[in-house]
Amino acid sequence: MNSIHKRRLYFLAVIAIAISIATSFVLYALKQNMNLFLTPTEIAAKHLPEDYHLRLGGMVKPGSLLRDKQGLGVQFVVTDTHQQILVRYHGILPDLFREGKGVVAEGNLNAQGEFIATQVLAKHDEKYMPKTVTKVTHD
Amino acid sequence: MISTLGNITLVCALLFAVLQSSLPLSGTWRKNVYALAVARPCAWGQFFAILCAYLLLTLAFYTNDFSLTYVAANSHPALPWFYRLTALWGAHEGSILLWILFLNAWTVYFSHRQKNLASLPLILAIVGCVSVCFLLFLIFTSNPFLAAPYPLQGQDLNPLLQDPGFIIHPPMLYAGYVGFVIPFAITQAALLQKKLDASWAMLTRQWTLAAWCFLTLGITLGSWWAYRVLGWGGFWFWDPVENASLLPWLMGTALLHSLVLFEKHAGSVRWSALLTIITFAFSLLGTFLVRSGILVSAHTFANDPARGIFLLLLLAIVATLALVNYVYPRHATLGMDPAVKPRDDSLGARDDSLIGLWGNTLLLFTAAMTVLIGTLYPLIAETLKLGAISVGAPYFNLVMTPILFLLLILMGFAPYRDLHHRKLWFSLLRKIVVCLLGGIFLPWFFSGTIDFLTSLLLALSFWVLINLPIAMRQIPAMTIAHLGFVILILGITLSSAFSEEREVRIQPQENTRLGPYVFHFLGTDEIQGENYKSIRAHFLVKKNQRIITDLTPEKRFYLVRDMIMTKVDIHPGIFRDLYIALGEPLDKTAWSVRLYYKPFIRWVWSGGVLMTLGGLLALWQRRQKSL
Repeated sequence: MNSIHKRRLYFLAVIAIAISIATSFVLYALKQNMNLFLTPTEIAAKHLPEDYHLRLGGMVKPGSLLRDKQGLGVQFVVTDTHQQILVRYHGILPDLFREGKGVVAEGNLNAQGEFIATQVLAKHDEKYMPKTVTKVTHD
Repeated sequence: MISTLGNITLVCALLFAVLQSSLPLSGTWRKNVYALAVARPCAWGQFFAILCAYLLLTLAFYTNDFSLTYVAANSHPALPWFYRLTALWGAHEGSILLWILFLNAWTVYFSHRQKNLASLPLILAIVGCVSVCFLLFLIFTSNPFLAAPYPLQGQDLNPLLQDPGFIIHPPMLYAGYVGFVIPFAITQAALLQKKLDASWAMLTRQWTLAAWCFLTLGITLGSWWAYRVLGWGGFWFWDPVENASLLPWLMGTALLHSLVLFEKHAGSVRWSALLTIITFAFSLLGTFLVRSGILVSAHTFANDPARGIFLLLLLAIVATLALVNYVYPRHATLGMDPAVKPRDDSLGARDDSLIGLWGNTLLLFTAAMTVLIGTLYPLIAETLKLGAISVGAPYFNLVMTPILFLLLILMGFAPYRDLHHRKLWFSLLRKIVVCLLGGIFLPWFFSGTIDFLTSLLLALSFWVLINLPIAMRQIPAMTIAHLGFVILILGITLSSAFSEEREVRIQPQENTRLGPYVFHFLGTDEIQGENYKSIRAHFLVKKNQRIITDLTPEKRFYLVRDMIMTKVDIHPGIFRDLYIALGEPLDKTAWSVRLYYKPFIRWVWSGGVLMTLGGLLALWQRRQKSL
């Protein structure tokens, strides 16, 4: 084994270590920042821990939208026709938010089984919905 | 009428493309000069056919010819004329047509500039193959000239796209995307002819630079559009479609640096060749991600599975063929092969910038891979039935930050050629101390808070800036591009660290504060646009009793699509933007509004523009040299 071989070996070792560090870091970051996408029926079946961060998808139940008299608090019911969940949110709803249309809320469940949303996304186009939600709301 | 003519032009283009790809290929095989000579005229023929198709479709849009399904789905007689001229690329079919138009424009421009290149017919043949595939895709799965079965009503252009940014952003982006086909074809031809030499590297670098400039500008414009239109005050959302444009950019940048490396040391030749393949494959992947409709995003139009499968197949075939061509053993290139010259030699060589360049391409490659993983992970999970998953922006921020640190450290060393001086290291040490102090104390001085990440990013940006002037004379293009990058990073760092936002409920004649600014709500009125109705709010912005500006954000209602849109109003400045987005009417007079104070946000796009200028300067200097 001459010096060139030795240097190459070191080089490869360094690269291998760098790759494994990078990979584990990426996997860790993925695990931390991944959100499951669930419908009310799936949530009801799952018994999730209270602070579990997830995305809830479904349809805004017609007539369920209520606003606070003061401030920007708002609540509405998300349904997939089988199960439903009350969503609380503080802030401005997106332009495409409508009763009877699809919605995606990001946040977690509280002790009362209500969904506390940190972000609400909407699109009146049902293509925006993941296939599972579209399927559920169409059945 | 237009439908028939359009289909004829498309078929003509396809015929030309088939000739352009098949004849020169067989000509190369059989050494037939006549077959080779066909390539250029065919490229021109194809270009004119596609140009005709494009003009016909534009004409159809301009004259509101709703006998075409595509026109009816994306236009309306009340749409302003400049949007009617550009609504062509407002949806899937037209976008693909634009893609092919740019492919042809790049091809004929290349064949015009490189008339005397020996391998020109072969290169044109390879581009022709790509063109054949996309023309087949256009004609069979997404034909914009499809005649409507019965007279249709115009359904208007998506209101999100009715913004000046939309007129210029997609063409720039596409020109960049598609431009990477030229370096790809040059490299494939060089691999086939066993000539990965200095002239190959020079040619590849020139054409990569050209495409890269367009892509950089396109991404910058896209970010500017998102800031103005989406109403969230953000400039980058790590949306899958944004990532799809970032991937080829990262690889293209890596390619540019590895080609500079090649001029100094032959070791990177195989790596550069591989990068041209990956860059183009990522352009195709981007097209697939955006056009297949499998991703959930504001940009995705198509939901036809056939399109997705076609594009995925195309991607697989191109990548496989290119890689087979790449790994196929070739003894003629051995003179340039890293197997003969140990790569480690470069580490001990006198020119120390080699280390930085190697580090740069590897880091950018890693960055592209991490973005790729984050973008594709939800798709993979869904295919493997692991459930519907989304990967949030925090993932991307988290993984990109350490890569960015390393990149900035290396970038600071970029102007130095020889680091084997004790004196130099003393001065560098002094600079490092100054930068660290600056990074820590400047934010503390201005805001009274210290944040580790912000300080570190600031210090690293200063580190690059402080070293930049050294190379201004010798390598001005690099200096400008790097300056642009640092300004971009400063913009991102400062705007995300110090921006302030508020969502409030407000009545007319009420005030609300944001930092030192007082926003006074005067009231609303109604206005009538060409194809929308709008409620306009009036705000007076004051600072220390002095009137700064009045802002008039709107809530627009687009009648044809029955869609509500927020039109934000912005008071721009070099050091800060004031940004108002109107929320919802809460009762008779009260509104919810979103207010933003965005410091240094303009630096983000200025940085992008500067990088483009740096690229253009490099291109211009090359041209001067080669003349």
